Amino acid sequence: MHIITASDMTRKGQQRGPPTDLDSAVAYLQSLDPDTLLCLQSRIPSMIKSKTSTNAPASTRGVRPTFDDGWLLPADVVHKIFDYLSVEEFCTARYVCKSVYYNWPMRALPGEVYETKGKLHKKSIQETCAFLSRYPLLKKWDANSPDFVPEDNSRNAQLAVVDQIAKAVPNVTHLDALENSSLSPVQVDHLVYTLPLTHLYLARWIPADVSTLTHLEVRHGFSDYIEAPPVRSLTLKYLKLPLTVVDNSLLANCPNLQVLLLDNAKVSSPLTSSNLIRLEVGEVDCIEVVQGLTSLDRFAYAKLNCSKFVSKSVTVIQSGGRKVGFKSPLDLYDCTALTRMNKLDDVPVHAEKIEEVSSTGYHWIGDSVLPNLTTLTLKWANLTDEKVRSGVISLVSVTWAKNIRKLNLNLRGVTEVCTPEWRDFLEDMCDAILLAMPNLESFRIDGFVPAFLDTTVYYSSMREFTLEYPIFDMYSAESLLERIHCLFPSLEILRIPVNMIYNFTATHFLDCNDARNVKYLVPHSERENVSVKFEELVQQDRAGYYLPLRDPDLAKLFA
Amino acid sequence: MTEENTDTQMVKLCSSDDREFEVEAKVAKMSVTIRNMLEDLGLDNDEVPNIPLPNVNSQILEMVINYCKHHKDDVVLATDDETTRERALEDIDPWDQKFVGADQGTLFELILAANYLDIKSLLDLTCKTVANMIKGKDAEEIRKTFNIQNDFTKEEEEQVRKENEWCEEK
Repeated sequence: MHIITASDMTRKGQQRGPPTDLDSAVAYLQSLDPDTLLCLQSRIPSMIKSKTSTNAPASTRGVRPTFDDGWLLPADVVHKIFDYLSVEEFCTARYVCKSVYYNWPMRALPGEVYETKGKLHKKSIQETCAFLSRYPLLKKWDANSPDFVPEDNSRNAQLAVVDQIAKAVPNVTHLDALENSSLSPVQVDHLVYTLPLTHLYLARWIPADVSTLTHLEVRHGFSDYIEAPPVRSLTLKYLKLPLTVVDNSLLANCPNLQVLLLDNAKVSSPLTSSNLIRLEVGEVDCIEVVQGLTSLDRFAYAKLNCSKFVSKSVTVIQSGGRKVGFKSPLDLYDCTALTRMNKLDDVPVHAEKIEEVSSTGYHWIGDSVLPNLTTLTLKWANLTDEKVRSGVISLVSVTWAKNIRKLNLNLRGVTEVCTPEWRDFLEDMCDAILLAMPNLESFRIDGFVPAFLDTTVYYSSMREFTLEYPIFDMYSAESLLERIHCLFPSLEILRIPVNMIYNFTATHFLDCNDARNVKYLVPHSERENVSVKFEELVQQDRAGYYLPLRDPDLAKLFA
Repeated sequence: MTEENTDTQMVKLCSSDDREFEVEAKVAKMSVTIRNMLEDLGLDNDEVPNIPLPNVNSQILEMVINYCKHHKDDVVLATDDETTRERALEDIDPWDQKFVGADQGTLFELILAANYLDIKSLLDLTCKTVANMIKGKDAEEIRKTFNIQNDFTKEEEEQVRKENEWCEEK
């Protein structure tokens, strides 16, 4: 049997000449004997693969992408690179060569360039539009009034100006700080409007104009004549006009509304919306009732004094400094985040989906039901020992405390902590809290250094322990570390203000078996996010140095 | 199968040039792309899953695996994007510096691979390295760094200058 080799096939091809189109290729194939065809059949997949691989991305062809190749990097990667650099550095890069200029055009600009605030104030509207037209993919523009100075020297953008801008940048979807007295048919989906928006101005606002609008923020004035069916997010602020109230006609006009943020607004009662998933209330004179919030997943408020939350409804009665007690437990069915609970001190919360709570109070704890709570922040200040004791007892008594994984306990405002009696009391309190939360993975305590002297158990789940701003340093580093290790044998991250603890050196960690599991030391506040791997300290033979910090290199690390 | 067990299981990664690398699932899962593929495949049997990576050649894949092995136990500390960005450029671990210290071509291929495989820390590292190569340099210095010819005419340069004026003007 004759084995067909590649050279045989090449010769055959050479004899007849290479087929140049499909028909002749097929004719050529038909002329071959069955053995040759079978041989070809087995080779065709690899031939196809080798031919098509030239169209594959550069990394598969061995072609090295470089700047010379015109930045083969995807736009989002380019964006990421320039996120690390200033706008000026981006501009400099555009001078480098045509390839960079064309392939890294302004459309890849980082966001801040779009924020032309104040930089176009000397330009005419034609120049402004010419400028904007060079940014075809511009999506967000924070263009405050100084940018809108057309030839008539008015500080307000006129209708024609907005029209021209809309044409220049058709893709703008987020237009901020538009200060004109009339709205133009600008197609945006995110609009912030800072002057009174009443029916007088809405006459110009035909429904088609807002067909793309999904986010509307109005300040200083508002009319319930507004009809904006696509709006999903509505923010109303500083509604000072006496007739401006938020009521159900507004909500009825915005059937797709999911997010409602009210600040300095009047609300007539009861508000009803079945689609709201987020309600944020700032300073509001009077909100009576919001009903039907069956899908609410976020509720937040600032200075409002809420009074009553009943099943599937939120009832808010009064504010203005007077606090009205809640009449029944807060029942937020699908709420997953409840923030700023400052005024909810007396209100038990029943919310099965809430995972995170922050509070300055404690009364709510005992009767609340939060089975999925994993993160609890307690900021207790100006409390008497009785109040704190009550809070701790509540925490110990609720069954859901055992599910908490992350506890932030801020006692910075408890000034009495300096007295020995309080110190003993807080020691007991910390021990009790740890007993109530056996599954803690992260514990941050602010304003007090517990010594955990009476705790005889240990917490194998604890991975992260943070001490922040201890107001006294009664313990030596050795004893503190010893206790911490005994309590938390699996600790991986330790954040402690080493410079505030007496005689604290790296040796305490490096020579101390008690710290053998700690992988990172974060010496200052979380914000600085500086960490040191202990094994590196050992390798660098810096064990004997004071951490805070006599060794200049270490000082740099901790700076 | 528990999360812990699946992490110690081995997976095969197959490069564009058909080289196979067997690595721990924990290492491979640093890539979101691979993690998603593994989730789609499921890891309930004893078979070692084979993940084809047609966009990454063996040389780069080997480097990526080394990187992931080195960083597999890293603790991701919470960061604030805005505050960390400023100092982030100088904040590159010595091992990482050495890792990305190869030639420019390899660096750019690593960027593409990190982007494709969706390995955030590697993408951050490589982008940071390129940004560092640009930072503080004028156009001529950037050309030198990346061996680029200036192909602008004087008029074109003037045009770029005019465009940039808008951004530079205070």
